[in-house]
Amino acid sequence: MAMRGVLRPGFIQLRVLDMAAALTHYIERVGLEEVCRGADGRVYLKAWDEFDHHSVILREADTAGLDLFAFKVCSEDSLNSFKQRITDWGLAVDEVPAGEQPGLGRRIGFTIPSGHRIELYHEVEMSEAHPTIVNPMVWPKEPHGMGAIRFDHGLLYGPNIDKVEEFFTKVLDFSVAERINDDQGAMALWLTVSIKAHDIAFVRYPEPAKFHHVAFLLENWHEVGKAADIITHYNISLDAGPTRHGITRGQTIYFFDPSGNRNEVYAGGYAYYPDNPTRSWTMDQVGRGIFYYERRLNESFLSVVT
Amino acid sequence: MTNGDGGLAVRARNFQLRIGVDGTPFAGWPDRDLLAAMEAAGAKGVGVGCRGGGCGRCRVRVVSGEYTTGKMTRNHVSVEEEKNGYGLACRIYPRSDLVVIWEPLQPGTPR
Ligand code: FES
Ligand SMILES: [Fe+2]
Repeated sequence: MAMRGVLRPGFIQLRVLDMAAALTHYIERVGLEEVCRGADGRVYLKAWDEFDHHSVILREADTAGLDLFAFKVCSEDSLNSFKQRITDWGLAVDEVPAGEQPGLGRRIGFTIPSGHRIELYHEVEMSEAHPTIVNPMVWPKEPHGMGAIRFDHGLLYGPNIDKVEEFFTKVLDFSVAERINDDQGAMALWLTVSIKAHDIAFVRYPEPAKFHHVAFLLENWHEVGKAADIITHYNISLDAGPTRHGITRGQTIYFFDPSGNRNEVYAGGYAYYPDNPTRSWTMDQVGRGIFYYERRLNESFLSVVT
Repeated sequence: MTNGDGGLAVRARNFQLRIGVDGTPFAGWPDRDLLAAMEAAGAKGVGVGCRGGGCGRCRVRVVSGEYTTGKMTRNHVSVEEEKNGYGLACRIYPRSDLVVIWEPLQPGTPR
């Protein structure tokens, strides 16, 4: 299927405890660029290979975690059609007017059964620092820090994962690329709307609206190693890796921003096509599914979220 | 930020930190948070999460001792709880010998 409807994760808004420390982390270390600052104090960032205005928004608050996760859709007509389908499925949909974030058009928002706020939008301005278009260079300006290429995906924790699966597959036209089942049904889901192995993932958790990680793409395994060097050099809180995920086959490191929000930088992973079967894992093999080389979960994977 | 262990041996102030009243003591310094001191000593007893005051995994009750704190998520330590000796080990800086007990919140505890 050519890509229509939902195109990709567009932006994520995170709460941070200390904006100055967060900016050093996301800009100097992860390698994002500052786009602008809003009058309300939010700071807008993007990765070097993204055309759109911004992809990461930081908001200073007295808690860490996720404010919202937004997907870009292919047209205004598509946005209107999703609004109808989401309403018909039974969720309350609200409208966020154009301009609530700089560079962004109208959005629709709703809370899914895991407690997370998801938004959809179509209109967004092109960023000033976009990749070159005519006779392109490899990059508009040489990458710095870990050199994050793009905001790639997120993993969210919350209840009612079975309902989340129904919503994403029946209403937003996602596919389940991989899943972990236990005796209560879906324990974890990796969902894709593209040829990426995942665009968003969920793990069942008793508390709603929790955030596990935001992931940024790197070019290859060597770049993941360089990111690990940066993590040690700047004494960044390391969670796991460098290693590989059995699920999606991505090569990865987990680490934390200065407010405790988990980040991932990763490379690789297979291409998913909508006619592919869903790969599935049983609980006795979950360790290898998450951390392929260690073949066991670390203590924090299932318990540390913001 | 402390970079490695260089210089710790010659620092003037060195406190005894314990997880639980009967815990084996480990060394602490005013500029190194309690969780980092525990990890550096190879000690155990408080869960290690983000090390950034955001996840609440290292939530403790301070039984005795003086300390200062950094910014901690209010999801896990309210203003009231902070006054009553609760804190996040990764955001607690000792000012004397300390005894703490690990008391993480269960997921979904009403706040
Ligand atoms: S380890 Fe996350 S709050 Fe201390
Ligand atoms: Fe990931």
